Amino acid sequence: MSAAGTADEELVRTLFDEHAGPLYGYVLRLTGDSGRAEDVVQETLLRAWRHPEALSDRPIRAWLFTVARNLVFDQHRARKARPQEISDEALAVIPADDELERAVESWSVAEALAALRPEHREVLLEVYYRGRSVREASATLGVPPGTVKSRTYYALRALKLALEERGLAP
Amino acid sequence: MMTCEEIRLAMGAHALGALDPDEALEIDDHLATCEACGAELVEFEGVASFLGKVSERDVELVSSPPRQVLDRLLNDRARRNRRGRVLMAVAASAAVLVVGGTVWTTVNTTSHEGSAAAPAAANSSQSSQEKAEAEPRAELYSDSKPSASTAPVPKPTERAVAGREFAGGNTTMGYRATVTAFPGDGGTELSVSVDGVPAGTTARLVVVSRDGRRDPAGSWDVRYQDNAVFKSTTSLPMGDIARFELVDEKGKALVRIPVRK
Repeated sequence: MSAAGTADEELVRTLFDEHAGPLYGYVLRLTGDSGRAEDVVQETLLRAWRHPEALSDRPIRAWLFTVARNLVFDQHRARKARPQEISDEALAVIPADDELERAVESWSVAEALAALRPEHREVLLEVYYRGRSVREASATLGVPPGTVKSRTYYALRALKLALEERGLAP
Repeated sequence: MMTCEEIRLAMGAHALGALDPDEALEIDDHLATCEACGAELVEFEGVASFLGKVSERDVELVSSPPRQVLDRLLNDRARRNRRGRVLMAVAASAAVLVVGGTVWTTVNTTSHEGSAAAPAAANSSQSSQEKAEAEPRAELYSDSKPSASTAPVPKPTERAVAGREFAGGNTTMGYRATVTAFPGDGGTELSVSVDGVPAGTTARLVVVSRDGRRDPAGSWDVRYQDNAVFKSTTSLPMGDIARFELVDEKGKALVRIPVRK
């Protein structure tokens, strides 16, 4: 394969690695259908890959979410009322609104949590999402209560950093 | 009595409400008098407030995007590269076969990779091939110069026809379209490919003649994964065509594709 082909593949992989997770989560929540969500994620990343110029002057995550949302809604409308209401809305021309901003933020939080070391993520899942006490988490995780406490401490420290890296300042 | 260090280590669990009541009470007593530890708790509560924005399932979803999407993206990219090579093969022959701005190619070029790449053009094709792969839809013919001395003769098994490719874009919308036109029986044979047009759009091709007549040349629905080339014909001879227009269901222009003389 030529150098240009390899660079191309690299770009596709980078787009996927950096954005497919949050994008997929967001789209799946919109569509409730994993097959459709995959199609929309694929189409969105394809557009990002084909139109690098569109990504140069704005936050890429917001751009991707906007394109994905438009694709979902366009499909939805097309399904409901063909052929009169086929949308010709532009690629990502709808300005980011509150709903979209919130979605971008939430999925960045999920991404920050997913980026934690496994033992940090696990302890937060136990004590926060599953509502377990230190004592209960200690039993579930098979580590002393003191370790649950210190892991929770370091997990929150690490999460703070991961959030800051994503432009989210606690 | 807990030390500040012990208090601090327990602060994460405290911010998440996971401590036993006794221990929580002890920490609260400490915080009432220790400003530094109090500041740390506020910081932790700030971090903890983000946790409520997502669910455990969200974290799972983010960690496991469907790999098959990546595979399909890479396949699509590979297909586009192949197409780039096909175009390049045409362009390589175009470099030696262009006569008066007309590209001589063979009718089975797109289905027969490299068949139009003449041996004489092989040396020059390497560097431009990479360029074509980086920019598969580049207008490959625009700067081609005739070079009569090295012009090879098309293989006898292939019907040589004069075809031209025209590209147009709608930069606002991010749409692009390419029309390849070959003279056919009593008109012009057309192949159209589009890029970036949303799935679900019904695209119609309109051929506009030099005297302003508009000849509808069929329509099709753009679908996902649609790398298919839409084929059509127009009764207009190639020389009479001023431009192509790709319009949507309502007649709104998606892409205009000018025909260069």
